[in-house]
Amino acid sequence: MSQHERMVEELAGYALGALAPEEAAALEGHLRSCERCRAELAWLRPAVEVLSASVEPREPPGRLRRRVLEQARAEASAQGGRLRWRRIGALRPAYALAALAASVLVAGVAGYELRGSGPQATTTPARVTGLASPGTRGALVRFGDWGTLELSGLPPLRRGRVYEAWVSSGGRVRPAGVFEPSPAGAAAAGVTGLADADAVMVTVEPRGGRSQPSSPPILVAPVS
Amino acid sequence: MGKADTLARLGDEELARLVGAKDVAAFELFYDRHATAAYSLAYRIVGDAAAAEDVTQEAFLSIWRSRSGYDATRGSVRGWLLGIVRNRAIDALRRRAAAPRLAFEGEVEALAGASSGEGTEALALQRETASELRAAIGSLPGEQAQVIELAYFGGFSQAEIARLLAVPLGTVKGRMRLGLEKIRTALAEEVL
Repeated sequence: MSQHERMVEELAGYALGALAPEEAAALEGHLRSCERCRAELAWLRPAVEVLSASVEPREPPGRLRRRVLEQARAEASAQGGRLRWRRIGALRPAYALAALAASVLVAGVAGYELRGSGPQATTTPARVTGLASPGTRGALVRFGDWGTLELSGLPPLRRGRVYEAWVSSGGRVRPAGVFEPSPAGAAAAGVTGLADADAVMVTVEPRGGRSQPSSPPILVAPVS
Repeated sequence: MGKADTLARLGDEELARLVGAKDVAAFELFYDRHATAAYSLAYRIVGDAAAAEDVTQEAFLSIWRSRSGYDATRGSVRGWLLGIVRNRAIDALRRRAAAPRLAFEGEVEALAGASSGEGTEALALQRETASELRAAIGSLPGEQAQVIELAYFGGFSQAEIARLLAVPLGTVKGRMRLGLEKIRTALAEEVL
């Protein structure tokens, strides 16, 4: 058995935290030089997340929140006062609502004026299909007839491919714009014409987008 | 738009990055997003409210103090946090094994278990998901589910499990791998 074959055998134990420290160290050494093992481990990790998400949920007591946050604040002020909040990533200035009306709105991370006057926002979690990357999450934040599809954990696409948003109503699907996620995998896509829509979805398409989806959706958010 | 609104629109990764930059408001939101998952996992492993609170607090503060911060190659933000919670909970379990539990601890737990009562709707949804996931894990062959649970929730090493079950080490490794691969495949096929 080669060193690689021996190490592959250990990946599940490593992902579950069940290796002795010296075994874990040996595997970590191997991982640095073995891309196949790194890929295999990355593939296994979501299974471990399933385990942690399978436990009976319990609401943490309010006093725990107070304790943790008080301690964090105390440590922050001990370190020389509050650090100024700074914008990160590809944050852009607020887009005009007119841009939304044009149906496409894309940015690395949120930063839009979306909470002006108008209807109350409703948030619906999106269903992630088997085609999506395991870490992908999404939700439709709807303000009446329009809204934004908020996405995170989108993997970078290979060259020449883009994400495209779609609005489906009464069996018809119309394009709502192509977008690229931030380096960290976040995106917010503006969608309009939701009044009579059934769902908003996302597919992966050739650059420039299509007028009809050419692949099944990676994510579907029902419009309730 | 207020800062809180803007923060609330950030994905987990961006929020984690702001936490890494020592932004107090971002940390507060980070706590609110993940505290229930963290506390629930801690409770599942250590089995009582007081110890689960300590573990959860240590895990969040270790992230707050961390210099290295979140690294996307280690999986999702939630997975990264829960990995830290799990390791700290197992440490707590081992420390406790060295010092036996006091008999009256159960009563203290009952008192300590009072929750803030917020977010009960979200909790109901999580409960539903959790029970579906448990059913899926329960559908694994018993011997595979057993080694996975002993390792992940019990903190036993493969060698310890082999001794405990009186089976060869290679068998434990094989069951662990098959079981985990089955969960992962079910996830990919959207069975979970």
